[in-house]
Amino acid sequence: MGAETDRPRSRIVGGLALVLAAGSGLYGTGFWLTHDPGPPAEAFGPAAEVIRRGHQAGDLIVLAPFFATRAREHLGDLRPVSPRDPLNEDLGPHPRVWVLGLFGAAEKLRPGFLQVGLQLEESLTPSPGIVVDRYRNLRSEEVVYDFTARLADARVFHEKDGARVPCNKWELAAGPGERGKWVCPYDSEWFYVGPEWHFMDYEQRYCLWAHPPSQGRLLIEYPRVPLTGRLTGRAGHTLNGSVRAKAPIDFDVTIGEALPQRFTLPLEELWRPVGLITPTTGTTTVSFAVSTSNAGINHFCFDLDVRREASP
Amino acid sequence: MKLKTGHLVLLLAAAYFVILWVTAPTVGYTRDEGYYFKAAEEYAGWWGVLFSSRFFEAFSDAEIRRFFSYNTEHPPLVKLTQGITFHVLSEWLGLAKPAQGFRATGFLFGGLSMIATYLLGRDLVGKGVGVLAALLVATMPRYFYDAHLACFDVPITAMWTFSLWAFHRALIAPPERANRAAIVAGLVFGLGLATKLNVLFLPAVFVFLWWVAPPTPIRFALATGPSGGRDLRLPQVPRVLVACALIGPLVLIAVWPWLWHDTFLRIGQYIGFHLHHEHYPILYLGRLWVEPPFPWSFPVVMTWYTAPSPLVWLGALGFLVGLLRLLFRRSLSDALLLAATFIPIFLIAMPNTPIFGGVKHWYNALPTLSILAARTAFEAVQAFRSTDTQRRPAYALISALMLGPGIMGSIHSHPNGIGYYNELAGGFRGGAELGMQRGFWGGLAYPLYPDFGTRLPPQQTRVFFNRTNYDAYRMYRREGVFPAPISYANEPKQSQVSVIFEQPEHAEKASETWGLFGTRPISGVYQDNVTLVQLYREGASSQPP
Repeated sequence: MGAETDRPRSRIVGGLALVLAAGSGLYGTGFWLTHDPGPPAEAFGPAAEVIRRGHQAGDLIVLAPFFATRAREHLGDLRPVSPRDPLNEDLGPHPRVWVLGLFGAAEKLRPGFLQVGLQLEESLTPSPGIVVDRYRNLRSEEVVYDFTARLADARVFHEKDGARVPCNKWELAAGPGERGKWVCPYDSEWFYVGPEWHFMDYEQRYCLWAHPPSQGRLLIEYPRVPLTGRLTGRAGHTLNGSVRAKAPIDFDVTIGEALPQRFTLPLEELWRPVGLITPTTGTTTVSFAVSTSNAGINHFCFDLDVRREASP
Repeated sequence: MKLKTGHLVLLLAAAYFVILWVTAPTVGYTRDEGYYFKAAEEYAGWWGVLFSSRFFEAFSDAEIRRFFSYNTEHPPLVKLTQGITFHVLSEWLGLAKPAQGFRATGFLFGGLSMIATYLLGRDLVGKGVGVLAALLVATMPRYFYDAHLACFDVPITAMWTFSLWAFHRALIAPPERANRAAIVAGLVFGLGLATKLNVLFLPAVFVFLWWVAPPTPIRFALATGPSGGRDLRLPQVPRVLVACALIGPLVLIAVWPWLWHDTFLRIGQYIGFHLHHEHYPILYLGRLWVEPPFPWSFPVVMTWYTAPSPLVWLGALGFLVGLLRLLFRRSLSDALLLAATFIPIFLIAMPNTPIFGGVKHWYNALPTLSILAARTAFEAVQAFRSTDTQRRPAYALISALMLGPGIMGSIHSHPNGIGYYNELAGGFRGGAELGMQRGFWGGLAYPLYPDFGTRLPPQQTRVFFNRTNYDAYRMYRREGVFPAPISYANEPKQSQVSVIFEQPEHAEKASETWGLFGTRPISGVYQDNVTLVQLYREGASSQPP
């Protein structure tokens, strides 16, 4: 058949092609022959055991890098996190932080963690390829009031046109642990407030589901909240909500008689910090109001608490 | 020598079939396969009517509806062939489990795609280039994965390439062979139409090739007609274009009994389905995309990160060289290679084209990209070695270098090749770091299922299979993959066991599972310690191990 004869005579192109073929061929073959697949399955048991033995209430376990989460099979009940950027975690409530790292991830995190106030207390290599670091958090804070855990104390309303409809049906959720939610009298499949797991900024987070209503606002009031200096935490759109919803959410936080502080969360806000300075004494009513101009698929979740600096 | 190279390619294609046959049983059944298993088996039932005393009834709309009304959004050639391979290999000869019987069609087309690439490469450049290009296609890890499946993407790559080869052959045929070559091209194009939608875009390539290298000059002219008036004189359209336009659709209709009644309505429905195809979510460079406009860079970047790097680098260089030759020399072979590589990628790059299968939807660009890469490598050798004796070992060496990463990547990624990322990305880990989709279609969970016997209680258990769809589940059941009594649950809340895939677009199922069962997976599927799938069980997942 008609094989064409327009062969290049250019040695420049030919030389470049040879370099590319040899370079990419050798590199590619070498890559697959020598790349590190990481520790085998049996290496995780001993590493997890180190953490489980030393684990105390309030400790945070970070699995790094974020995509290597096999250790959940051993530590999942302790709720480890595996965020894309562990330095962006809310470390305040955790007096100690454990890192179970593969592929050098634990070592890479050290400078950043030191900068945010963590002090490396111990580093172990319990199995080949797995590093376990334990940090003390020098800037840890004591959680005085956890709004997610204290939902049963809250009163929930749908405020619309100056009227308040109470969402006062308390339903227990299926699954392990005692969890309940306040359900509104209509659209109950999504119109409720309850602690749930949601995918916030590419990480499963335990937070308060609070879907904004189509009209008006969803109001969650917590009476007698102790004030100790800081009300803080995170809030955002679930991933699916962020890519399908059409409007930002207005999240109003009101402490006592003060004017509400509005946090407007555009759809790209997947898990942003939310914080307010509060008085350091007394108790008051704290309320959260959630509203939007378009409620369709506007899946919103927050996890806030009242904190004070931990005593040394 | 000609015979020897041809035999070598046949041998390589047969070896590819055997390798796919041997390695397929560890590859889980994907979402689409579930549909095609079902369709192929239903379609095959029609043969039973055709070869019976009810022969004439087989042509009635009622009988055709009975057997062909499922999955009418795809033409039937592959499904009909799957039905045949299933019946022959699984039912009659007992050589294979049912899914393997259906999948054998994919293996066959995998081998055919090598032959087609060789033929095209041989005709456009030379035999050596054809052989290397065929091997480059076969050893691309994602392609190798897809060649295991009872799906259409590898078959359409074969038929697209055969169509290009037959068209080119007919376009340059001497007059005495032009008619025959044109008819063959029309038939092959028709079989391509009967394979998958992609071939509908080939006429654009064909017309472009005619424009680049017309057998007779393309001239529009005004001439005096028989009546003395001025007539517009059109250029002579090549016979092969006419053949493709006439024979192609007829073959499609002939092969697809569904079109034998209400032909135009049903063709319209078929095309209409694809014009309004839903958009599937895709994780791309750390962002979840669910609706248009999708980034134009998607197919380019994905090719960059999922084709072995020698194919990427030399293919890109070959494309540039080809472009210069097309511009300055109006070379037909370059026109064909460039157009057939560019169009499939361009179509997916358009912001409103649904992205719903990762890289497989432009696999038909691979054979010509591979030919470009192989040609670039061989011409490089020719630039530095003047005699055949000097060139042969250099050809062998450069071929080995170019094939190494693909072969190693295919071996390493099997059976999880759907989540393969190349050495430029940093492998599976690199893909995850980059924020790319780690997998989809539900096949990756397969290694968990035979373990159900040791992980689940002996009594009936309801399992939320998540991305493993019901038809794939049925096939697992049919083949006795589940050692424990299992039933299929549509939602985590209806189940006692939940399979969670690392797909952020379905992360709410993981959220629901964590709430219902707890946060500790009891097992999982990992590649290079990158999490692909994890399994949760009521009770156990809320407790320490």
